[in-house]
Amino acid sequence: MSEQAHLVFRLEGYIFAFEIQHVLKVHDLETGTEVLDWGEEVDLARFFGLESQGKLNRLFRVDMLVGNQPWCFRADAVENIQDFGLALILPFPPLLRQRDNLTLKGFFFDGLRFIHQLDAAELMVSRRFRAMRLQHDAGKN
Amino acid sequence: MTRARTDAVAEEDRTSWLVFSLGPNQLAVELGRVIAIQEGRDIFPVPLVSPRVLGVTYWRDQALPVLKPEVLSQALGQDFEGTPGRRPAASSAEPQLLGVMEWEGDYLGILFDRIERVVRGAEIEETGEDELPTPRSDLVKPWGRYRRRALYRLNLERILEQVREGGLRRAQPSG
Repeated sequence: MSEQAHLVFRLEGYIFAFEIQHVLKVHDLETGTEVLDWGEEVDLARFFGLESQGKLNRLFRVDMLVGNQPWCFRADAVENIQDFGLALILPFPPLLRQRDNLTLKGFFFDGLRFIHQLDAAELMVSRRFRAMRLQHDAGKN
Repeated sequence: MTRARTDAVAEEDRTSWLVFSLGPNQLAVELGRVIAIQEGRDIFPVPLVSPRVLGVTYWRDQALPVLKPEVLSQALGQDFEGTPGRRPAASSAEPQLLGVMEWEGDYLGILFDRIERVVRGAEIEETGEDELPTPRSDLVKPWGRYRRRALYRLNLERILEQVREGGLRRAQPSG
């Protein structure tokens, strides 16, 4: 698998990609198979401030392992693993860069759509992301 | 009029300006700031950026940020009649032309309806700022009249400052 291999998933109409090395497992929640807990479950739609499209699909759960930290999130759809060999890699526009969006590394552009390339390591150190994980922990206790 | 002001006005008169329409408004931008004009393409929203940004589009191997057209309409005191924050491919309500503007190394796409003309500053009928409706913000500056219609100048420096400002927003996908 190429170094550019990414798991592509959809969330509220947006398309995101995580490097496959951080993805441990993808669960199809519709199959009814028991899914064991895997770290904190983080609402990425809330993290990115995505407006709800009215349908709460979230049919997939993606288990992540970044560094030694397990966490998971839900996605509306998960696509095939893609290596983006033919896609253009566009850096994030400096004009739009802020501390809050360091998790957005750039875009893959395949001629039809922009896929948001996520930086998993940056996500783990994001203050808001860490706060959301803590909230999740507090909710469980 | 002071010497500095006189020099500025003389320079303005010699400069070429692109006059364009956005809804009922006429706006002008220094021609030297306009890098390209093209048909509006698909624009993809981006989360965690200024709420004034509609999204990005592909331009010369870059993800070009595009300003929401309602930002300018609202600065001019009008409600935008398009679909705020979204750009469906077949929407006829939204401006169809995209101007790529440059300011100190940054590029920004601005959507508009129509190119009116390229003019010299001297062709603009100076009316004095008081004779034009006062804008709601300093993103545009009253200038004068062109073909009897009010003309405002884009304040690109301020527009880019506002685009740089952040703030979590409720983002909407492109569908």
